[in-house]
Amino acid sequence: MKKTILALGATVSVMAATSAGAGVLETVVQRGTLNCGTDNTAPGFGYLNTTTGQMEGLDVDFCRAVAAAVLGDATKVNFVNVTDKSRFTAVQTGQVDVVFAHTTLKPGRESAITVDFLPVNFWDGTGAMVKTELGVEGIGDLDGANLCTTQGSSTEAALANLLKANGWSNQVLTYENLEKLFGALNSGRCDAMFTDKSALAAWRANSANPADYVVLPEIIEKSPFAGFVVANDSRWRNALRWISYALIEAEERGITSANVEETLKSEDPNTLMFLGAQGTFGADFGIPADFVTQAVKQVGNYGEIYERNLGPDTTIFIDRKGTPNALSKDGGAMISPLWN
Amino acid sequence: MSPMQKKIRWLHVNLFAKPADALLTLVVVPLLLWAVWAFLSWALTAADWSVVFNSLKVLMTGTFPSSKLWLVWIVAGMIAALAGLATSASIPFGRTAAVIAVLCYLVLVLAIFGAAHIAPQALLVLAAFHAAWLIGLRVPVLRENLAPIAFGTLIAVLVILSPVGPSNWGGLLLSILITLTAALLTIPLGILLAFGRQSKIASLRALCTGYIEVMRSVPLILVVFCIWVAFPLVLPKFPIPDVVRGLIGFTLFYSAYAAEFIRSGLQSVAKGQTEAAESLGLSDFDLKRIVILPQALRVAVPGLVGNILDIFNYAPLVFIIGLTDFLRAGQMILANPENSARTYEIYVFMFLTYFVVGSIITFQARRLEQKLNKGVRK
Amino acid sequence: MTVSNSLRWRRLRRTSVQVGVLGIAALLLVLLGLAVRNGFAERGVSFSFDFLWQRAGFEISEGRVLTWSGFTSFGADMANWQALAAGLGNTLKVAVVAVLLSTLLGVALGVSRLSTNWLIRKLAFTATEFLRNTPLLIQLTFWYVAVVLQLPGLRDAPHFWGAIISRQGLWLPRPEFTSGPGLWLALAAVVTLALMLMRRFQPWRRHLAGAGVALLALAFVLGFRIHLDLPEAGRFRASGGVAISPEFTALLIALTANTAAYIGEIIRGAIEAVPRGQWEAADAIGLSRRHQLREVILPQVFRVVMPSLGNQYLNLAKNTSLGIAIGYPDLFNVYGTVSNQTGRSLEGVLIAMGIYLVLSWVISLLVNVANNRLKIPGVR
Repeated sequence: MKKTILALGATVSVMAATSAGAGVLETVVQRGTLNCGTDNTAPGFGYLNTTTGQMEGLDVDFCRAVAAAVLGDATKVNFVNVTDKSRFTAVQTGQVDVVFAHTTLKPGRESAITVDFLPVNFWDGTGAMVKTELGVEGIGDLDGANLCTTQGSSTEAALANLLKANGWSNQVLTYENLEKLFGALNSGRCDAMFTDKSALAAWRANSANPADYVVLPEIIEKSPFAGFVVANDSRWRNALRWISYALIEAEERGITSANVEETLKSEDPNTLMFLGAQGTFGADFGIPADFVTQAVKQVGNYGEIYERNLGPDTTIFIDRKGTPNALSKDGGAMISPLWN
Repeated sequence: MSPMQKKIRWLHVNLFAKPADALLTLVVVPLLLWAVWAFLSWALTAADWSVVFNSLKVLMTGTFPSSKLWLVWIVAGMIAALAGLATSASIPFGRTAAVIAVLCYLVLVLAIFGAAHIAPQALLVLAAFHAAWLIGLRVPVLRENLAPIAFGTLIAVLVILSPVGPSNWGGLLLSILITLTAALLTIPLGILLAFGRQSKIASLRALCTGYIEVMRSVPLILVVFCIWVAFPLVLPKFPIPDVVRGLIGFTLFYSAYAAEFIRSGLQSVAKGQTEAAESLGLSDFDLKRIVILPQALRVAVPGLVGNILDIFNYAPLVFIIGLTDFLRAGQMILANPENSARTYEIYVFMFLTYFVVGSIITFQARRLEQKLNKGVRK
Repeated sequence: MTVSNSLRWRRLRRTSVQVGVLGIAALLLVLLGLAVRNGFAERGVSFSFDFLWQRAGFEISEGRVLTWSGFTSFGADMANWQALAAGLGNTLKVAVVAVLLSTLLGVALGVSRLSTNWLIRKLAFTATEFLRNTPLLIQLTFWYVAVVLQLPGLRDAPHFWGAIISRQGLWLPRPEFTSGPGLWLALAAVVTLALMLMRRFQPWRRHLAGAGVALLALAFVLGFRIHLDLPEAGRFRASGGVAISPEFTALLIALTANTAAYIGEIIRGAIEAVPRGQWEAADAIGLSRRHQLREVILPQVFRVVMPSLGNQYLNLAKNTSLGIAIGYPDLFNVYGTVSNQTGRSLEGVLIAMGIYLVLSWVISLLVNVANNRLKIPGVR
């Protein structure tokens, strides 16, 4: 009995000591599936379609793209539901390999919370939605109102700043998730619901009567969304960073899931290098040579992903034109570094 | 006395015995009727139950892949059979014919209301329940070895479901799996802790007492969250799925409660028993195993069944570690803005399901208690 | 001598077992700590409690903190530990009120289960069953979403004697006292009048009453007045009065109702355990049923149920942590926010666990004290 416990204890400490060697990339390849943390209650980003039972959304497609690039199969993703509260812990404790959960990229999250962020995959802004009957025209009219947001979101800090800047002393309520937040707005407990404008648009569009709600025009803070991985594993982070860039680069080059096979027949050495038919991009990152091809073929380039989840055919529809989410050549902020 | 007079007499004694009683009755009856009427008129006209039927799969199994749903049906049949066997340990078959009729009727209603495609499977599960009930009554060996059978069933269930991966378990299935696993695992742990708390070795006693008291002093939600955070830090080499970590949290927490029920059982075993067994020359281990434990468990059974109900009722707390149990599945459906107007339908359905399952467990606990009390009249 | 040798041997063996058990436990704990530290180090995170003194940077909806200038509302500029303290305050606030109310309601439910009125009996039974056989979490959501948030909005809210009842919150009139020497005289008057109620001072009742009234009159002459600060509905919320948030109300109702169901069962069991002879004797001396219950049965019941009630109070205190589901900023909820803003989950969990442990011990202690007070000396 005593010996067993001793042996167990020894194993625990040995395992703790030796585990430092293997990085996330090796673990993922060995496991054969990607554990990807996403929300499942955010339409357009990470949402479980309860009729089809499939995960859908921009963040979800980024998970699939990573799986396609690293493992060669976009379906080899194990979606783990993370909340605003649990997402950082989930990555730090190694429970998920990467999180794409509409998370705002800001300095404190890389320095104090210690996770490493990937490139921005959606530019959003924090805004407010109120009921039409309240007769409020802008955020400036909300002095004294009950302001509500979700727990653990960057909006919590943004609201504190808003109050301080204006010298207001509003009540700030935080709910566990968007569903409860919207419920509180609906019931009148909250006068204004604060979160990212994309989510506000989604909830308004899908409500029984969209005319009952107004999304206020102001943005109190910009809110760039990015995935993130555990800190200090640059092999894994760099591989994922360039997979994200590849989706944007593919759109810049006009390579889509439909024409990627055809493009592989092209003569242009730079294109072939980008797609992995030549060169050593994949090998240098420690992932398959054709990672860009697989990601684009199985999931699509950034534009395709955007259209599928947030485009005009969706119920959410967030116009890409004129926003930072457009490619930089169209006046937006989406741009990939040089692939050479 | 004519039947009519009997009825009037009943009314008089039970409802109008005193002026105060009469007043109470006159106030409560209309209120009650109004409440029932309001609920029924909403449920039958205003409510749109299609949202429940359309998302039945998510409510029951969460993100379980649709192509492998047949696994869930097999598991449901096995769990139903286990429940039937447990029922046979406390309730004879004859009297409850009415209950069966109601259950079958419910399935029928389900079928009519647009869930027709699952009616055959549901009927088979029901049949498994009744068959096991009947067999348990005929074959006493089976119902007397309920604990080993339950362990066997649990292992089989976990093996059957394992190819799908624990992260895909959800809905009512997950709630039931948590309840079943935690309830069974807490018993051996509880026995060890209870004996440890009564041990002659002071330090062991202090450790067990400390563990039990600490677990009983902190909220479950905190224990579950703490285990979820701490495990990957302690065992970085072995990524343990969320579900398993949640189960560990529940088991660690509720084994403290199980230990207390078992300890009260241990204390109820008469001192003379120990002395008699010692005089027979039994070793300490045999004494505990053969003489004391069976008697102690007998006393502890109603408490342990109550523990099962507690585990089931607190299973929704796994929302804190991102699992999708029954309650969370319902909230997830409501998270789709298209369904946001259907809040009441979803909640009423969930309330009723919880109430039915909870009532069945309570009912069985009560029956078991009565039956055991009959055996040991003082 | 062999006897003393064997005794010494046995003592040695016993000591070594003790040391062995403790040693293994200590070793396991140390290994666990080391493993956690390694785990942290590997992820480039350090284990530290410094975050407690950093600026919180978030608001919470209610909660007060004791600072140099008295109790002040929590604000984003305060430190994280102050946020946790405000959360603890909220936990205590709801727990204390719920303990009192659930005891009252529980006794009522338990007595109703034995009512002579069939309807009341059955209603109490159904309510108890429903509360005990469904999860507290769904009950809490029900009270919040389907009851409290269905109250009228602030603008159409009804006013009862100055109180405002709306879905944005409850506002009650607050009595305000003028300060000065009159206030102290009035306090003295209240103390004097309170002494009247104590058995020990029964013989001097008249004198006390006289003194109390005289003090009160003097206080009035010196300018002591009470006036009610009535809440006034504004555009978004009311000002003045005492504000009670909907989240507090819903959590209070849910905890009270749920715990009352369990307390009701305990009370019913205890009443049924009182020997029939007691009822019959009380009946024989001509007490009405209500008096039988109040004067004879319940005093005996309270002597035996205290430990069981203590367990329920403990459960209630722990269940306040479900407040997170409806956005009530209790300790666990605030801990969640703090750990999320700072990334310090494990440190926070340890702090929260410590606080809950102390809280539970305090409750157990209070229940033990109450139990010893209620017990008749020498009677078991």
